[in-house]
Amino acid sequence: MKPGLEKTLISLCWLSGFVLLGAVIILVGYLAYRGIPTLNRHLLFGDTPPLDAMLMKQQVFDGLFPAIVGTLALLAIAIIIAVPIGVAAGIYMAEYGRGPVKKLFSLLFDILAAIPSIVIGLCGLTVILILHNRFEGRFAPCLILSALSLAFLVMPYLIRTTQMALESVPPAIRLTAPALGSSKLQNILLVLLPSCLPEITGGIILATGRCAEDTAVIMLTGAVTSAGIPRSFLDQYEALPFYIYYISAQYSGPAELASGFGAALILLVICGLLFTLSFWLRRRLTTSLLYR
Amino acid sequence: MTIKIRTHNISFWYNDHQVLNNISIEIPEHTITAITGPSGNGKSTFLTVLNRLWEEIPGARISGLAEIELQGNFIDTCDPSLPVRQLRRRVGMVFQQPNPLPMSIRKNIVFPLTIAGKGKQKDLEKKIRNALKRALLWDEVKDRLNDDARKLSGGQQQRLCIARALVLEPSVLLLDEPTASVDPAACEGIEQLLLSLKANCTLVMVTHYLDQVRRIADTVLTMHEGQLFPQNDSAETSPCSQTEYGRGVTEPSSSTQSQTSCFPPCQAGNQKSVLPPQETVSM
Repeated sequence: MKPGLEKTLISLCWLSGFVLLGAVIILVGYLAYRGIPTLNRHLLFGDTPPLDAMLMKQQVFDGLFPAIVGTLALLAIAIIIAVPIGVAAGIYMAEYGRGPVKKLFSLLFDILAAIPSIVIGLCGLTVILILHNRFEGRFAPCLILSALSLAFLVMPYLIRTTQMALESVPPAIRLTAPALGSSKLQNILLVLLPSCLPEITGGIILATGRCAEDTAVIMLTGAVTSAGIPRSFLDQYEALPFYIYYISAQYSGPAELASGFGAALILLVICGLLFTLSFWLRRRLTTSLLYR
Repeated sequence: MTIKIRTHNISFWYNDHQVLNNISIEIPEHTITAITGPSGNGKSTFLTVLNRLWEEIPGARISGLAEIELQGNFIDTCDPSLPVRQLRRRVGMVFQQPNPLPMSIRKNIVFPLTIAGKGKQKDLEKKIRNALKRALLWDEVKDRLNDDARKLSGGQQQRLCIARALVLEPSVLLLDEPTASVDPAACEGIEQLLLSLKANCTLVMVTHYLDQVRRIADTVLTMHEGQLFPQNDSAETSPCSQTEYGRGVTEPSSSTQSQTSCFPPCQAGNQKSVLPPQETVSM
């Protein structure tokens, strides 16, 4: 390669990095600039005393607290459903799937990954309508069906991440445990999965972020603007992304718009905290699984 | 001499490609048997026959008998009804590239015991210490057993892998070019270790280093186009004896004399006469 061309390419790489970094700084900076002044007790709890709100003694009608709880509950349920199934399917694809069955599953997972979130939301809504008709009005859009729909949305990420991580384990490591007398399951559980922990955790982090930001799925399957804190899986709920979407589409004045920026900033902070928690957990898990 | 391993007409294929062709040999116990030969001729594959690791490779198939004496009985390693996990705990293997598991030094040693259901024994610490001492590694790692095993040097990693194989006290140890990726100092340490293991173990080692063969092997076999031939002075009976590998052991070079001074060279008398490959070779 000519030295001039090489220098140009390297410069372009640096430029791309700086453009991306600049975009992130501008976005987060603007969000912080607009959002930080709105962060106060009233934005979170309205006129309700915070302790009463947190102990669920009183409903919060004009604050973001129910939406924060709803978002966290939604994320937790969706991830609890998606991670075991996604990782198990990834293990199947990498370790057990063979021939045409593997190819068929591979195709199906690719199709699932390519489905737009609004279509997943419509599928969830269809399921709700079927259940609503079948069980005479006992089912309506609710938290658990939103979480299920989100789980399906992020499952392909988890499947592919797990599969690729397992398939990239070097043959030398892959054969070590069987040569020492391990079963295939022992090899997967004790060697291969712990070896792939960083990649799989990375997939879970991405999936969590995807769940946290998606609006299309939840607006069709259970999220509403005012529902309070959900008390069961079958309740409707509030969620930050839906609140942000609603405010940006229908705000009635500067104060309401400012609360939307506040909600966006809170969502960003929640995602940041969850990512930090994931990194910490990954470190702790790696240490306890592999080095103690 | 008591026979530890014997094979009869072992042939092996990867899909349609035949790798081993009617191999019949006998290996005595408490010896080091070196297998030499050009790359791609089936040396490593032959090792995987002895602990049935070939089963892990898609498209592999085998015919013939490969028997190992375990607790007074010869068992056929190719027998599908044989519990392969128990077999591999008695027939340890060390690979060409040091392959410490991505975990601590201690966990690497405990791993074989854990999967054998012996990971919570009271004398676990003693077993870890003994395995590392037998592998001549204890003094170097005793203060950092919880460190990542991958941070050890190449030679230390390979000795750790040998210690890991030894913790289950195998009666046969298979070594696939164990010194291929370590420096000369580490190589010397590993050779000393292998010689010391002979008292309790039968060792079968694939190696490309003919000087090493002279230093430590009791028996030398050469793999050529999927057939195993014993090394001897006759250049006529083995088709590979005209090759570098065929000449290497039987024609000591002056450069190896100084290297063999610290280890007794392989005695010519250890190498028996050649029989046709289809017949059993007794050594």
